[in-house]
Amino acid sequence: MNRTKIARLVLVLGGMLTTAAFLMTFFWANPSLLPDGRVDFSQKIFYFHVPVAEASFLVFFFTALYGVKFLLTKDRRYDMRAKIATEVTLFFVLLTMATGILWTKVAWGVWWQWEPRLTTYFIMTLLVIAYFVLRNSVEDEEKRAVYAAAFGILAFIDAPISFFITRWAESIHPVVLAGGKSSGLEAPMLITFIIAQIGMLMLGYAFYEMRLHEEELKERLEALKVKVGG
Amino acid sequence: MQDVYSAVLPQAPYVIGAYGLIWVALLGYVGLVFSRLNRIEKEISVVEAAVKRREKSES
Repeated sequence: MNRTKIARLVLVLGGMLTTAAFLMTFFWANPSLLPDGRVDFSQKIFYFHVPVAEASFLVFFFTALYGVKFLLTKDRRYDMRAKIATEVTLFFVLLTMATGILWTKVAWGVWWQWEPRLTTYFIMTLLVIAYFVLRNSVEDEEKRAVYAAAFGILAFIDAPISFFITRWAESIHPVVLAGGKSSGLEAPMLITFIIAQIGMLMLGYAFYEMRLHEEELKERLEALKVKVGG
Repeated sequence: MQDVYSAVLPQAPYVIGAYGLIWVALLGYVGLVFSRLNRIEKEISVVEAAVKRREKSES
């Protein structure tokens, strides 16, 4: 089975898992309760907001990894892979920001709060956008690839900082995956979360592979056009 | 039950908004990439046919 077929299979499986997690979120996972005993319905956003955020961190790692590989080998394929990984990161980052802002409005009563997690994640969002601004501002292909690789590696440093900041600094953002026997979640909540997380990571992989396949096809098309033209 | 409704109803638009956004974005992204893939694949088959015709006429 080739890479494209595997990606399509992973896409279908990821879609099935995320759909299952979506249904489990509303029909199986226990509702979270506020300290005063009232139902905290906004907590339902957690089941997809966190997987999307984790996916953004993980896919961003590949921007840095392929950046390092490019700088070591100067192989243009790694530059393309880093660019696609950053594109997928941008997709997940924007979804994380949007769902996070909606949750913040309900939970904290404001759309935005300059607290450590939100601030570091906002910086990461700006860095991901800046990656594409940088790419589009350099005309020379080789220089563009080198600058983008170096920038991608440096930008990724913010991802672990943003992930661990709620453990290091005083933050009002909930600490997710805090450890312990079941991360403080009851079994139906934890299982729903894990299924959503696996599904989202599978979708991230499938998106990356599909975009890579698209770029490879574009290159093949360009080569064929040159052949026809020549 | 009254308590549940009073807690859930004010929060519902935000939860629906978040999930709606996620599903629209996921489906939209997949749809966009697949439509572009189909277009490029069609274009490749047209250009490949042109290359074959050209090679035939030259030989």
